[in-house]
Amino acid sequence: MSSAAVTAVGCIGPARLTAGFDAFRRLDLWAQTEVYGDLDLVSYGELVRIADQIRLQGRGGAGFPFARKLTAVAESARRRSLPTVVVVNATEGEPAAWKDKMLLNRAPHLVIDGAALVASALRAREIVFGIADDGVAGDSLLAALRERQHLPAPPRVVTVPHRFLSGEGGALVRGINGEAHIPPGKKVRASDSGVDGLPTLLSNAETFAQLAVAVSIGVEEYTRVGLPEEPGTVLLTVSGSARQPSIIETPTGVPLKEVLRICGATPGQGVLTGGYHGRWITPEAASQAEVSRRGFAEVGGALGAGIIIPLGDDTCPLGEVARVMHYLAAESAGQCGPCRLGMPEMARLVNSVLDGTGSPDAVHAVAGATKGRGACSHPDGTARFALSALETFVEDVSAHLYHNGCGRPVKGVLPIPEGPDDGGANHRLEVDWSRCDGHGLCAHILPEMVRLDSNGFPAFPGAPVPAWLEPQARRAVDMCPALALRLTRTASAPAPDARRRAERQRAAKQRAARTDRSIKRTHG
Amino acid sequence: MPRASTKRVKEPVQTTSSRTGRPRRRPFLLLATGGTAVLATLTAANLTEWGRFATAYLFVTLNFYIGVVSLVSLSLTVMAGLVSTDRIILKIGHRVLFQGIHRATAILAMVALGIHIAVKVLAAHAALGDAVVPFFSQGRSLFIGFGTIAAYLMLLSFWVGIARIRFIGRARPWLWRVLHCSAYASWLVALAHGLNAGRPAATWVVVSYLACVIGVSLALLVRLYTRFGRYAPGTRAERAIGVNAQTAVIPRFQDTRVPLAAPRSPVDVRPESSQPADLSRLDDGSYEYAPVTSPGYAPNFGQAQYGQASPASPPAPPPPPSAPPPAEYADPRYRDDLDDPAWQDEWAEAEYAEPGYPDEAYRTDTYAEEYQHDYWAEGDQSREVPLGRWTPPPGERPRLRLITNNDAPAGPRQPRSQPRGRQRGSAEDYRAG
Repeated sequence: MSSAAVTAVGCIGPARLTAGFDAFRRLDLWAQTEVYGDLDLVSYGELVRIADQIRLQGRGGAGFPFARKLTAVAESARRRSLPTVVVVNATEGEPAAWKDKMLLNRAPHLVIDGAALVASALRAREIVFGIADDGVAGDSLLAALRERQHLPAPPRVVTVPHRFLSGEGGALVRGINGEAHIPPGKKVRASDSGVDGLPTLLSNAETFAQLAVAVSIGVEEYTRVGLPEEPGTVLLTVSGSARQPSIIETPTGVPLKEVLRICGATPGQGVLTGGYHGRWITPEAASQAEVSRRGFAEVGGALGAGIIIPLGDDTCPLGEVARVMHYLAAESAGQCGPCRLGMPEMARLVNSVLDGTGSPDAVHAVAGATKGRGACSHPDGTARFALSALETFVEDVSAHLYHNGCGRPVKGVLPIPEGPDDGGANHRLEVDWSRCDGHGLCAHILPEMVRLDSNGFPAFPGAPVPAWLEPQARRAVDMCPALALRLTRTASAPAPDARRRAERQRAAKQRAARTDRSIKRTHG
Repeated sequence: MPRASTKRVKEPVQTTSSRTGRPRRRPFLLLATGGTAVLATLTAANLTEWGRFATAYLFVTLNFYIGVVSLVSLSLTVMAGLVSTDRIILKIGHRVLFQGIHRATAILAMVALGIHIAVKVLAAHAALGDAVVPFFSQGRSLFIGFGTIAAYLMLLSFWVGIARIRFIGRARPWLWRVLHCSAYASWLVALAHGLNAGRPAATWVVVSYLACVIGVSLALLVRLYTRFGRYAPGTRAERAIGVNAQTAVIPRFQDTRVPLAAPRSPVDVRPESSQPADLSRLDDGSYEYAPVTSPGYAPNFGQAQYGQASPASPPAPPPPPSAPPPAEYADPRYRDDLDDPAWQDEWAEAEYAEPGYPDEAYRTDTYAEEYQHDYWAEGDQSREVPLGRWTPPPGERPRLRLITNNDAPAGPRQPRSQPRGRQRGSAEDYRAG
């Protein structure tokens, strides 16, 4: 889904997060009060009790129990006599995830309510909203915050670069602190030391929204819906080969097959659950799976942040996986050797399976070499993604290895951001083959991207050079003895940043100047 | 890392943005600061007597020797640059190393040249015009003019070396090499200047420079021979163009290619006497270097494994039996920020009491028929949804609601009604509870 497409929203059963969506396109403060009534702030003990009884788990992918997180932060603050900070993580760095942007665009006050509840319970010093710089959710959130004149803690909105690792907790905290926006080298619990070294409660935007819903409608009403062990609803983002890509709010326990049917999707060759750090499941498993953490885990998938991507029948699954592997390798933070070199190697090996020259065992081996080695779990998640793909698409793998391929094109069903929101990667490495003489210095300087084949000539993926590799790429271009390398701008490379920012600001001013401020033509 | 500027004016909500990466270095700023600091130190030192003595001593030393430093650095630059083009003896890493030496000594030579010119002008050994125009002063030695010429050629060569990237594409790449060869001319002229413009050079100095010149000339001849010999038409073709067994493949870590034996037909390796044993003959008669394998695929940093099979070694062994797929990745991605194993999810062990839904309702053919129905095309509809283990409360059949006003334009605004009870988030809500 690009930022220009409007996302359809559907709801199975009673609407919780999507309440009022059919009456209002965007719930401003007045509409929010109409739909949900007033919000009564609750005490800390009461909030912990509510979160415990509704068994609220983080919706950002980790599924950590929210009540535990609350008590951990409160304990840490009490022990060290420090104020706390509440961070709402709405960055959503995964390209296929759209639910947080939808929430911020259509029901921002729900998220703000949840953050206000937690902030008042913890007596937080401030509330920080982390959003990505793709310009989708920022205007709506700022408008909503302007309407709320009195919050328990002063709000702050921090815009972070829209990269895959932006949504990682440690990376977001570092970005808020003004450091480089990559995961920290040493794992530090945010509940111990987060923003400005204070105990920080960091959670996904949807988690806060669920908390606000629970406080508004009560625990009994909330747990009426869904499974006993995972009550409530989840937001699923269904894209891929679905005829109608949409965000579906569904109670837990509903079969995945129903959700896919509603979106006009068959499982096809397989379904990706949990995003690019999740797992693929076979069509048979998809027809038996039910929407819940346990249900997905039973069939070998992962609920994660609720990203469901059914792969149709007319695209080459291994080609899609290889494309995404190169993207994930480029999205490495670049600070840990095993990830920086091992991930391109994994991507290359998946490509070699695609070409028929490799084997899945080699992918297993490299995945084993990168697993657990690194500051964050980016290589682990990528390895999970790749290995589950090789296990799910067995026929396709054998078709590529033993025959001349599967014969299907790669249609690009799995979304990869390209263009101006690409995290700054605007250049591609290209070789003038009439000048290249196989010196091999480029492979020595840029091993993350360039490998020498058996004849000594360089081979590298066609993916754009990631931002953290650009200085090295320039060195490689400079040092080629034959002057055969060059860096070319990609077709959708953006204009200088200042111009785009000025355009966006101008558009935002025009929008704000309209008398009808509340119902805007926002996205999602 | 500086934060981007916050929008302060008329903005009740503070906004900031963060950027990836480290702050961009400003070399010019650093240089300017460094230069100013040096000048300030010199000026301050001249206020004390020992400071003046030290400054004078420094000046005299520079006067005598900085030119020598520049010339020696220039010689090293030329030699390192020439050595780094070698492909016969050097490996790729060595070439990169010599390139680094070449660039470092070039910078040193330019800096020393600048100081040399400044000191000589300050010491009145050359007029200011001499630094700009060769043979400017009539009465001075001829070789000072040589120095000016050498300096210009050096400057040209330096700039061409820095601006190397600009010669890709637009200008002809061969032009770069032609322009950069002005370094040789600059070196010879600088030698003439250095040995004759100042005090007479000692014999050993002249002899060593002569040896360097002869060495560089020989190396240059070898280089020209290899380069033009390779592309000369009609000569006997070499084994492969662009391939040099020692420099072609230097993997950073062990190559993890799978041997050709799996899954294709096994490779027939016949160690013939005329070929090295690392070549293997394929079915169609061509040759392929035997791929390297290892008991494990662990990265093996620093060891180049190409072509090291001993003459009597057997063909490459088949790949090891595949390791059992890891049972369960421990989901570190989903561990959020708490690693303590004691903090496990204790709710995951709940038992399942409700039976599952009947499977025959979801046969493939029924599903295929249902798939043809496009829910969204019919607009908003409330349709019953078959459910799984979630049993709704009695008397209630949950329906599917498709929210269709996603694209709807803004309708007429509802009249604003008084909110019930307190304002949301009013001031009394602080410190509630």
